Amino acid sequence: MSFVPNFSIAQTLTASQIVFTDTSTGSDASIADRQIFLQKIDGTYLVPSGTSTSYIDFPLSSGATNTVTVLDTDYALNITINWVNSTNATLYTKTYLFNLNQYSWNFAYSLLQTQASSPATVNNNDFWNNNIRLFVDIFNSDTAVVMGNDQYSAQFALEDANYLRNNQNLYF
Amino acid sequence: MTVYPTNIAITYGYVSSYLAQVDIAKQKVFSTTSINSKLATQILLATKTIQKIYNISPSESNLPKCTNYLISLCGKYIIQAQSITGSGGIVNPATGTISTIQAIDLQFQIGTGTPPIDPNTGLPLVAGGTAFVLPYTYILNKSVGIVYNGTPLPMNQPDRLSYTIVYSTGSATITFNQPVQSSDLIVATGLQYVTV
Repeated sequence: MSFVPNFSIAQTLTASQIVFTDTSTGSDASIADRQIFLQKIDGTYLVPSGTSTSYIDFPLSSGATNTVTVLDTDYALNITINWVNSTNATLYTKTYLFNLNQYSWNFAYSLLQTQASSPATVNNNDFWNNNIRLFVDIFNSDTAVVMGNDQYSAQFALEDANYLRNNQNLYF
Repeated sequence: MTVYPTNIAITYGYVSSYLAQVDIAKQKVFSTTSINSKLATQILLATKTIQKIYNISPSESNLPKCTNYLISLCGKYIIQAQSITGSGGIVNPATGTISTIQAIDLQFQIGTGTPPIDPNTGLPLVAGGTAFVLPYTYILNKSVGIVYNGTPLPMNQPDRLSYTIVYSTGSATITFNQPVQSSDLIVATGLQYVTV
């Protein structure tokens, strides 16, 4: 049965993690390893600290799922998985653009908890306007990826969300 | 305040948001009182945030607090949201889940077929026994009635045939003050919560 490469990803509440799932069908005895590439908008590759390659190894021995702690903030990433042979030659490849914005959602969730504890918080115009700004960033980053396949615009929105989160004492 | 499961609250949140938007627009035209013009947006953003977290981790520890906050924001729109989503708005107090109410109608004859279980023997009720278990979950308190050989039975009347009943979450136990006889016809009716 011919091999059809494919994969999916998921994020948990631990926003630094990505869960990769190999959803390929069929088989090819020549496949010896899998390599994951996380390409940022500037063309560089994101890898866990201490990794010497530009990719993350996803060995066949680890099964279909691999959880990697690699994100220090939100990114729109072009994610490629290469299925390679024993000499690291690529046999199959698959690439998708993903919007990884769990840090922003977790921040929005913390702001919601603040509102739940102190409902009058929304009467503060700075809080409310910047809360709206955060959601515009979240929704636009999603839409840019899903509808536009536009990594630049998605990252642009995420940069603003990251900025708000990193400077929340000034804005909320 | 009624406690709603988070997944139900999410549905109500989405509906309440658009109801609030229209209602607030009307109030701006006709009302002279203070209006929370942010309300529809508040409800929508709270709903989306809760849904995002719930989809990843349904047992996240702060979800109940945030869900209650969402319900408080939905306020008067909850009843209409329940009607629109067809969920009826009946909450099983034992579980907190949105439920419907269904009729119980159990009819059996002593010595014929398979009557319900006698809790004293663990076997189907037979002549000489005095009790049986009504095998339905979440029976509404005080909803059960017993008809014995065509006659409605009173409760707790020591001078005539009567019965007592003990309700629990998994069933109800009916106990007569006299043993049942062969061929006696017993009909038990009532109401129970059934989760939607």
